[in-house]
Amino acid sequence: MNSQVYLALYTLVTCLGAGVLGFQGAACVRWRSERLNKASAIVAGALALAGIALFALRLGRPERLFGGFANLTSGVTLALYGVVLFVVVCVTMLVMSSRTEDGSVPRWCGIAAIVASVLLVAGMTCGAVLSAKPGAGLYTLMALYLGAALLFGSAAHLVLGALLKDEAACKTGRATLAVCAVLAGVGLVAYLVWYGLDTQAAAQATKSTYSMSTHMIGGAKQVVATDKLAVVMSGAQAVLFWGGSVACGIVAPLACGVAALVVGKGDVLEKRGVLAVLGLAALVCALAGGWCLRLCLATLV
Amino acid sequence: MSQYAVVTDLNRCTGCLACTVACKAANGVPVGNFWIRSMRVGPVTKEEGGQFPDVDMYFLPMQCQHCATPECVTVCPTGASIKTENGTVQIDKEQCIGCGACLSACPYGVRYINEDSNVAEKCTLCSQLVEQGELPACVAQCGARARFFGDLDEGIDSFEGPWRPEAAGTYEEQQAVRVKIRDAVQPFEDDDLHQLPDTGNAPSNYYILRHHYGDRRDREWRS
Repeated sequence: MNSQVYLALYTLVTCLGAGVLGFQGAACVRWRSERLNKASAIVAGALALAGIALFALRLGRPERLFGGFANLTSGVTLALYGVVLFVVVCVTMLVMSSRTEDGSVPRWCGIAAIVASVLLVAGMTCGAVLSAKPGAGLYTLMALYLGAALLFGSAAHLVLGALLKDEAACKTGRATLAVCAVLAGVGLVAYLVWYGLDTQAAAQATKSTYSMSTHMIGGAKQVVATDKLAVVMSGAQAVLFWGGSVACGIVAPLACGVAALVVGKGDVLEKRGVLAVLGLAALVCALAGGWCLRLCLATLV
Repeated sequence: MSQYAVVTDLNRCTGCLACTVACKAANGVPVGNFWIRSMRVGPVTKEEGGQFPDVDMYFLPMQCQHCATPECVTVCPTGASIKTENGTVQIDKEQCIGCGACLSACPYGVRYINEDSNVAEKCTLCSQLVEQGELPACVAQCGARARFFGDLDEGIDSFEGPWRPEAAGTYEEQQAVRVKIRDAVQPFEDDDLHQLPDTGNAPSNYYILRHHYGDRRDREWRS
């Protein structure tokens, strides 16, 4: 499989894991969804480990993975440390919730979960930021990934809450799904605006028209970054971007979130079946949209 | 600390690919991969709305620029990519995990993953030859005598290239004949010296492309 596919899967799975644990951390601090502590810790930890496995699969020498912890100036190293911290927090939450009858964990555990989730996404972003390349050295990429993690986390929280009959989780997931979809959209817009500005500035600085001299006739010009944005927004990948990333990845979860607000009024536990379906639909759409977006990002960067 | 680099006179470069071929022969670069590529820039019209044949074109040998602050070294998670004492950027293949971070980070796209060893590779500036006092293969075999090697800390005027011997001698004796850059190429000014776009990495290699020869307009740097 193409290493870009592994990379896309790695960021997708990692964002989902960060969203699940981050939302559960917030739950521990604010709205006490004790029943979800164990499940969230297990799911998030498993997703983080799956993410690191996918990352290792894209390496030329996966058996040397542990060498990747050596250089703290490297984004990849920071991403690896982020995963280790995240898994440690997941295990801690699992152990702490096993010690109590109702599965509750101390408040500090919730705070640690939020911090670990943010650091996981931040580390992953650092691994993808390339400061010497126009359009790739953008920390707005972090806004994009954090927005995605919020959307995934909100939808997953609603699904887990409905499945485990946790009233607080159902209420919170229902209330936040639409908001998180909007935030994911804001993250995407922020990234694309900065990408456009950065690549335009770079294009004005250089007017390269390279081609390989071995292709003297009809030598293909290198595609510059500003052209790449056009390919994604209005060219060959327009359907993937507008149909997949925007319509499926953001608008559909937003619609699910609005529907959850409308149909989920009253006793949420009574309507948990509908909420579970809406949450699952939002999650599947958001993941599918996230996959399309990552294919577009592979073109852009 | 030194900063080894290559200066190429693009007014002399004929795009003959001798540098590319010599590099492949000296370093065993796999088919389909390159440590140095011969790029062609242009042809583009000299003036906005101009017509053929009033066009600019030049060849651009593209290799690792052995940057002063190389982004590939910063992003390498294992420390396999290093900046050495002589200023060149080298890869420790025993440490490389083949993550490709350096490939993505390089603004010039001069690295690749070797399909057999699964680790990153790129121009070493022929460290195995330079350590023995020889010139990098791309400099020694340049068909147009357009390439010169030296230490930037000693100034570009100290750069040397291969030259024709005064009298016949052994191959080794002929190989040892060198010439300073100013004695070999047409005069050039400081503003004739160019580098590839610097995005904070500070490339070390220089390219000479003269905008004017006396009163006559020549080519414009477009890289």
